Amino acid sequence: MLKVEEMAFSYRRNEYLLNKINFEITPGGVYGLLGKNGSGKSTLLYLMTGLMFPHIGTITIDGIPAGKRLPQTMQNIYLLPEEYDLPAVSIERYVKNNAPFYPMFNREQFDNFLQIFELPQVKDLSQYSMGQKKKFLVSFALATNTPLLFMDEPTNGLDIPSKSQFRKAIALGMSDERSIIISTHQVRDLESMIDRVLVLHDNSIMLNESVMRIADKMEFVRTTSKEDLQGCIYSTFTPQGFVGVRPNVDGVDSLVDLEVLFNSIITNPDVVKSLFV
Amino acid sequence: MENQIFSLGRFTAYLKKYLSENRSIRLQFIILTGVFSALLAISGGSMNFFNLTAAMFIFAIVLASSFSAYFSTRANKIKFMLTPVSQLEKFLAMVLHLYVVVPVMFVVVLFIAQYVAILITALFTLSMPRFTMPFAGIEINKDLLLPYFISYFSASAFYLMGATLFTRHSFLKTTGLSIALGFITSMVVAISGTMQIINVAAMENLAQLNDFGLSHYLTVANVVSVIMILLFLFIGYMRVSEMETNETRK
Repeated sequence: MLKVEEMAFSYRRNEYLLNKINFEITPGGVYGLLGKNGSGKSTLLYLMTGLMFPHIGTITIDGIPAGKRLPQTMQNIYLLPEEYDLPAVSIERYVKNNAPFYPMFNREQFDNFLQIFELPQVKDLSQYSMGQKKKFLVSFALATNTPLLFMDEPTNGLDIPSKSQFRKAIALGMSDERSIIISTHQVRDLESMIDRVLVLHDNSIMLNESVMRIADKMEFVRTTSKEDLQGCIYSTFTPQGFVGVRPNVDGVDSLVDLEVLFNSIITNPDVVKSLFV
Repeated sequence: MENQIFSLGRFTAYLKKYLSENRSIRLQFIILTGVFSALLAISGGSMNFFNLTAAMFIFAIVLASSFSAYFSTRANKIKFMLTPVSQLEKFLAMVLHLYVVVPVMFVVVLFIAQYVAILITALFTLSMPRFTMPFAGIEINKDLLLPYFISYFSASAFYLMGATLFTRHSFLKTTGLSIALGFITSMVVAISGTMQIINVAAMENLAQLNDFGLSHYLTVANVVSVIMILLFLFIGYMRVSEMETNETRK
């Protein structure tokens, strides 16, 4: 569906923010795009949606370069950006103006998502608070049913109840034909939903693995005793006790802790990489 | 498969969205009607077309500059760029707005304003309103219509191009650019004119300049203006289609 091949991109001459990026997004699954601040997560999203052009390599959606921004390509993707605004029009008018461009838009689903987010009916969308605007846009984005849905920090600005509403909406909006790519640094908010993890580190994709394979290769430890952390490639102390991760040599079944995984990649990239060769 | 450059159905849907999101034009319509009504009432119902259209001229270039709002913030840019219509259709909607919607709106405004002015005059003079034929009091010099429309279209195209080049303070920056270009052009024209006078004088046939000069220069100026309009629109279109969310150096 979406293919990134040997892609490189820089804001400054010869100083690559992203270099030799290769990966593929296939239908069905929630992809978590993780990375430190300034690692290029948003830039990668913009490149994948054709909002910027790679300097080397290609990014194609169904075989067509994303940068061409053909209507046929654009009606199959939807990007929910981190910064957003809504026009001063009614919900009805917004749907009338924007839904015709998305052939698979489903009004019934849209109303259902508005209900999940408990959004009040307003005459003018500009009356919504920032959080409500985001929830409205998430509802619209999910109802477009585009095969590719990109979200840049979707839980930023959402209160605690809204985050669980968000997870519910994503679960309902997911299908086998659709992939949702979520760029975030708030891993705790989305941990339970992510099927595949893409980690951006040191200008390239350091890890591109399914959560199942990660659980297969790595053992995540939660303990109150420091002695239990033997063999860990990364560990830290939290108010609840110690957490750590080590190679899963004994085939132990453990829940993937994305924060610990991410920190282990930052601190020991080569060790983590070698586990997935 | 639907044409990816232009499809009437897609363009119509986009135009509807575009006009709906630029609803402030209705408010501008009411303001313009009010201003023209007052002007017509004060001037006794008779006014020069070109004085009246000066307002349309200013309105059009300000409106053309306001298109920069689509590119002024990242959120607006993303919204604009990701709407699933072709870049040509997006640009065409802007051009159509300037070249068709604004002039049509202007004619309608004048039509309404004329009758409102008659009613205002009747109200202030406490007499019966005397309705006339539409546009009866508007004086038009037909010889100046072509240059007027050419300058209207070229100025709108220039400010539209400016809106795509300068995403902030577009009106001021485009005005600055036009002054700079005007200065350069006048220098070139002055130098080439002087050269021609020298050549003609050298041929000792100064009368040739007067006979040949004015109509020849007007035709050339009109042709050059049309080429410039197309060039400005082309630059604007290219800029829209090559635009990136975060502009980068390649």
